Amino acid sequence: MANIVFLTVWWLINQEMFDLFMNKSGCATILKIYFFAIKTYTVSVNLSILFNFIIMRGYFFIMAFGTNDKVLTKKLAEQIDLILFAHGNDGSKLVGILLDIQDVIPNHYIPTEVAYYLADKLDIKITTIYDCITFYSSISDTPRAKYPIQVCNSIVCKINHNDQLFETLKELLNIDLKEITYDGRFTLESVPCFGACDVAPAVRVNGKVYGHLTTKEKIADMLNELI
Amino acid sequence: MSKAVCFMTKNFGKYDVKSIGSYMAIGGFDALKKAVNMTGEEIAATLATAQIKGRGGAGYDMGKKWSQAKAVIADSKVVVCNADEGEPCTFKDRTLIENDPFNLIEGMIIAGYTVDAQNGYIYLREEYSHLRPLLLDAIKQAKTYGFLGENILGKGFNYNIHLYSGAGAYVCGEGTALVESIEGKSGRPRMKPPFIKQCGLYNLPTCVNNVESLSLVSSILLDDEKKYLTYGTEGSVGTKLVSVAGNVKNPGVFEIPFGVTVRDIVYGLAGGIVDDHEIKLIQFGGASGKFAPKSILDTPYTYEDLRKAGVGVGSGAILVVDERTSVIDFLKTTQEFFSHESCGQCTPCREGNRHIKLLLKKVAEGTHTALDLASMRKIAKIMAMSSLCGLGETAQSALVSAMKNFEEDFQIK
Repeated sequence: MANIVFLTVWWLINQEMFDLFMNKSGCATILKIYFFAIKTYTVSVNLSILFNFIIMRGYFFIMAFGTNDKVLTKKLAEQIDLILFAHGNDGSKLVGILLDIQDVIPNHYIPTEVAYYLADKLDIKITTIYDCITFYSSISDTPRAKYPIQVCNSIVCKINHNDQLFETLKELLNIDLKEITYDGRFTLESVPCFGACDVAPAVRVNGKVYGHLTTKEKIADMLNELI
Repeated sequence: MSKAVCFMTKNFGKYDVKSIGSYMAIGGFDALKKAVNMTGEEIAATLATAQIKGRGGAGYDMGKKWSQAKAVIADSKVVVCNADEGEPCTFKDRTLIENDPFNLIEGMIIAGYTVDAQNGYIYLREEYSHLRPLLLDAIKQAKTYGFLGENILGKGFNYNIHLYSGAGAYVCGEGTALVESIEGKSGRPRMKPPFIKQCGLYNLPTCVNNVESLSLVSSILLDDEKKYLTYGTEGSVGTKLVSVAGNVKNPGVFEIPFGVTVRDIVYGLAGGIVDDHEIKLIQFGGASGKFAPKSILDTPYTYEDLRKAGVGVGSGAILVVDERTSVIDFLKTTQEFFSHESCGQCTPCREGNRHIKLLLKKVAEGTHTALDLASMRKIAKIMAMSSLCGLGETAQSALVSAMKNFEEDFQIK
């Protein structure tokens, strides 16, 4: 708020000085041009600062007033900066950057603040970022669990009875597809083939594949291993 | 006895995949050393003699592809390795990278040298993210040993390899969608022409190759006795990696010479059917491939024989389904897959997949009419003719082959 008041006052003072020199003192044309240039310059600088203030820092407002859950903490911002550095701050590596960030966020998703933070840092449009997030099925914009259990729904796992796998997981975790357990630890997702057809039926949890899940014991063992 | 051979897979288990030293101890990078003393045209001609067809699925002549890429005049070119094998039942590229990562790196460097590229990109699917550290380490070690970077092997050839990750989109296996994705955008296929060989990644001439094709290169170059040409048949020379899965006892990846029968693969290498059930159908080349009934068992596995039998080699996947699964259930699952994976950019694919899904539901319920079957045929035909990319063109090939081979399952009740 203080910034806006300051900018307005600054602009008024400029306006005043301009009027003073242009009209009342009646100075030489060259001086008039000179002061006109200064005025245009200050106005444009003021405007750009104002725009920066409103648009680029918008996510700070979201952080401060929008919600109580601050996802983009200082620590996370540092982690993101490190990831960006590892990718050479290169906007063309957006897909890889999003995946890496999703890995460090406990709930494995891209929060809104982070998306805006990236748009600012990489100087790309927020729409481009959301185009990627919504297009690729491995990138999520809603919070997931600590261990998202991705069950293959493709044909090879299907003919190896992944329906039993689904049912057993639902029973053991007491949740349905896309739901999260009460402790926020597990969620069930149905995903296309991840190339583990030789060990079908299989699940994939945070990049690790668990195969041959044909009996309830094996499935329970897999879950226990995660805990 | 086993019909499998070890030509492309000869390094499997022979060296420590984490150490370039152990790879060089078994003759690694010899092919590159040989290649830099040849011209690009000579290398392309060697591949053309071996009649290697691209192993991604389209089967384009690789020698021709490389000589065309070499002939394009540009200041800067790129080579892309397509490691985005999204076809269900295909896992040969995973096996190749897991067991022989340096061979892939070597193949990529030779590709770069052949077509005069400065940069190589490996597009690894997100599902294989566990292989990322392995490949990154391999690239780093190759750089330390001077096989990547500036002035490689003192020949004034500068080349670097970058590893990019996909994010779970099947359509990104398509060349133009893949380059869109590397550029940091959503992977929607581009209009063709211009073809990516003229204007691809970052608008540069781009040569896209499958992992298996690139992994073959070094073995071919070192094959002085022309052993490779002794494998296979007249029309399909050499060997092929097949990934066999489904209701078989011993699923896995096998290197076979072209010409062995499907029976040898399914009953010999893959150990036959679980609990000795009867085979219902065999699908070749992943979800976008066609399928055939049991009668295909005695057909030799070659490009021309399979084509004659109405199927194709495709990505090398062989999915064996036994009698416990019905044809319609199979098609429904495949259709779910395509409905999910269609990028939604072009109308025939987006709407076609949606309507076929609804019509298949009717067939499964048994409430379909002759008109519905006619619509299915018509939609499948329109999709194959007018879709923007290979996804839409091939999405209904399973349905079309089912309607031909399993007419009784579509009978109107």
